[in-house]
Amino acid sequence: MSKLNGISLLIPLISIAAPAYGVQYVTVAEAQKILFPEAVKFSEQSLILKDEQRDSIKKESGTRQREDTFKYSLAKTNAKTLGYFIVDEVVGKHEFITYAVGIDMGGQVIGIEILDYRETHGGQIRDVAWRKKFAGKKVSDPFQLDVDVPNISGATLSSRNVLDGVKRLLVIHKNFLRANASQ
Amino acid sequence: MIFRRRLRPLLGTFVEIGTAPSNGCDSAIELAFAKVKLIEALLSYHSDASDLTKFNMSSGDHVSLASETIDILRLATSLAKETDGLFNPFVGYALEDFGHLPLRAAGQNSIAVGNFKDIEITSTGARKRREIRIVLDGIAKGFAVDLAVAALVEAGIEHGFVNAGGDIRVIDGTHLPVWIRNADGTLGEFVNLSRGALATSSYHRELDPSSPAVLVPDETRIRRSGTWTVTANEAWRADALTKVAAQLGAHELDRLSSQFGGTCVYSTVCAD
Repeated sequence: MSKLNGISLLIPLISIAAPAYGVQYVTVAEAQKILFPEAVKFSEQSLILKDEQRDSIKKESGTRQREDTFKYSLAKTNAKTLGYFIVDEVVGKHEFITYAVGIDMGGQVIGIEILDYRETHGGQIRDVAWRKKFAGKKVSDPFQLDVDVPNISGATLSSRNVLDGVKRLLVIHKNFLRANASQ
Repeated sequence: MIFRRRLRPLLGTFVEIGTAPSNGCDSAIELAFAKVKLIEALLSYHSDASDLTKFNMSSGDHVSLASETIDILRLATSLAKETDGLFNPFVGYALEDFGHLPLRAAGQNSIAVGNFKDIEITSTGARKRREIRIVLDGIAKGFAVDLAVAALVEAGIEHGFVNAGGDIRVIDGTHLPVWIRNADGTLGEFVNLSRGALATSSYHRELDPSSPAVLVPDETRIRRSGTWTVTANEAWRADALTKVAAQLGAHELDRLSSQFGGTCVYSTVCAD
């Protein structure tokens, strides 16, 4: 009975505080270092996109640009600009993914690094296996994401949404960022 | 153990590489990701420039291929022979016709479903004996995982793992808790992986073009929907054997270990 009480108290905590699966991979600073190891500074920029510009982004890339303020950074050494560092996010049916892209001065993708990956595929609260995992845990037990979240095998997600996001960023770079590189 | 973990979109899915934290671990992880990227470039059916497409578009002449491509063709061909076609990569034309893979101009007398005798592999490449096309979707992720783990070990990493879309291999002695998930995303089972590899595939009885794992069923096999998880020493074999497991009846699953070098550690079969 007390075990049942422990679980029933825990469920609201889980549904608010913990996604079915969430891992933080690298920080923004680490991603900057991975994508632009020679950069000594990252100068933040922002660009306001008008409605018709956002429409043209959707038309060319296939993906909607949701915000009208587009933020990015210029990766620089003391002598020159190396490229563009952009943090973007994908909000899909089952996934919430924050990622960083590096684009070089030629408009090529240097690399893509996932910062944060959260996934809600499946009826996690109701799963017996999930509940069994927490049987005996008290409400006061800390839910440590980096210790307690294991690896997943089966029903894994396609990376399509992230790749579509990168395509949208390349369209934005090609049409709106290149001209501003000398800043 | 708390791992240093990094994740990138590769091979159409997400590839995670983790190691015990150390000063050199990020550069070892970079080397491992580079192997995965190489395999993606060499073996993609979608890419016009890949070794696989170069071979698939050839018509009987010998084609020079990278050593990694030759290795995987050898593994796939010998497993097709060992399993008497239960694992069958010679199904490119069938999957193109079904709409699962991009159509390319067909060669003469094309054969939808071929067999292991249809390819001749040499030390520098391969040639077709009949007009077939090869699909490596059922084995390439596992193969990439094996190469990436080898790169970690070569870089001096003692504890680590690579997970490419659920195809997982650990450096022996690493303890990795794994959640096996059913096709609908619900949790199936918890296992601990401390040596070798593990892979999971779901099979849908009605072939579905949007499904990432499609099998061409042999008309004589029992066809069911479900999820199968297989362990093996190497990830390429665990990956490939999930497709074999899906075609074996429940009473035959021990053939995986007695004949094919793998073990089915989890399976659910849906009532049809």
